Amino acid sequence: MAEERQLAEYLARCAQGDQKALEELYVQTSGLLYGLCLRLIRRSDLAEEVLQDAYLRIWHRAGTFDSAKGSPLTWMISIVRNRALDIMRGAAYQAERHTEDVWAGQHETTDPGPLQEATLGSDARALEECLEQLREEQRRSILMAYYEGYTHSELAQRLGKPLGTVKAWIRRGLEQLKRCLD
Amino acid sequence: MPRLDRYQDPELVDRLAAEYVLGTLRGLARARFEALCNQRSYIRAAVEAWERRLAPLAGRAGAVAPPARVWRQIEAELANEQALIERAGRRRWWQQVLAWRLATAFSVLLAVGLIAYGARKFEAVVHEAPEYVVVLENESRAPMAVVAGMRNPMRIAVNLRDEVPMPKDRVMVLWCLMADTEPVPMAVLDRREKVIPLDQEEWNAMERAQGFAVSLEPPEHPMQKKAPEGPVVYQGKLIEL
Repeated sequence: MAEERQLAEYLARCAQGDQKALEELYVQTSGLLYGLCLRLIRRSDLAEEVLQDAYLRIWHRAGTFDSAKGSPLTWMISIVRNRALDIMRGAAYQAERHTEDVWAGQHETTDPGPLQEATLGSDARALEECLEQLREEQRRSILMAYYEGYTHSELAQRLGKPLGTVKAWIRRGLEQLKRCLD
Repeated sequence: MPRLDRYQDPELVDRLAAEYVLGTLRGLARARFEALCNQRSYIRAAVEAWERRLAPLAGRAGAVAPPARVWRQIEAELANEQALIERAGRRRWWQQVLAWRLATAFSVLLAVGLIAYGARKFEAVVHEAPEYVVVLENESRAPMAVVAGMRNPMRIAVNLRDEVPMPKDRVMVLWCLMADTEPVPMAVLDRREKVIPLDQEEWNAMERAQGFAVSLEPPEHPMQKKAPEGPVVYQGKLIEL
């Protein structure tokens, strides 16, 4: 895919210390990555912090990206999500998160819309089809965990189901997704 | 017999990798798994496979343009890092020079330096037996100044040779070169003879120093710099007598 090759090239230039390449990368990808952060963290100040940290990590680690092993966007998404989940691990953040349920409610994920083909291509179509094959409660709990960053117990609370039930939905849903995709 | 390692079970590893990427593996369990992922390539491979599987989900989170300040902060951070790298580079260069000088016959250099300098002048500044001496040399290794450290009271005396030109639009700053931290500015050398009182902390710092150097600095706030900005004109290694 042309766009992926372009991103890989920017990363290669970053690895050589070309700051202009990082700027290009930022222009192309920051909207997607910031949207992802914001939805996970729900606080714009922390989401900005995560985004800033993530691009600095991308800059420092650009040399470790291996285009033979995967897509540059997948690599960047993982960096952003891991950084966001790190911040969400903090106790102070957790305490505040529970008081912000109103905000959270407005952003709850329901059924999938069309995936952005331009960025993630045929993989996106395949994933969409496989998600369609899951039971509603499996799909819903997986998507809520991915986008909103809910833990098992938060999901159990929000869905009004026992913890064990929610864990089983996610576990079986993921197993089924893997079988479908591979 | 070694305890059975549960992370050798591929099904368990795959399940943990999936929950790690999904984000439901949290807290200590997440940290532990992350550490294992860095140690074992088969765990990393399982994680990367799940990252590939789930990455398309990110595409429809809904793009939101970040505020302009985020990029400005990234740029500022990069500029800051660049400055640090350059400073570290300069320090490394000094350390190389000092290491090279360590390999040469120091006592001989010291003797030659002191003789060339003139014992009479040296005594005039020092008055008592110094515990530490530094002979500061220029690029062609001619002695240009002597620094002596005396304990009672704690002080260093600096004496510049007559040959040393006093700069007009720059100031000469004496630096203490530390082994593992930033160099410390000790004094502005505005006279040929200068005595700088030290407190206990400064004395202790001097004892751990690798040497001293003199640089030519712009006159604005020469003592507030973290490293020489101007050229380093003289330097020498600290010698305990």
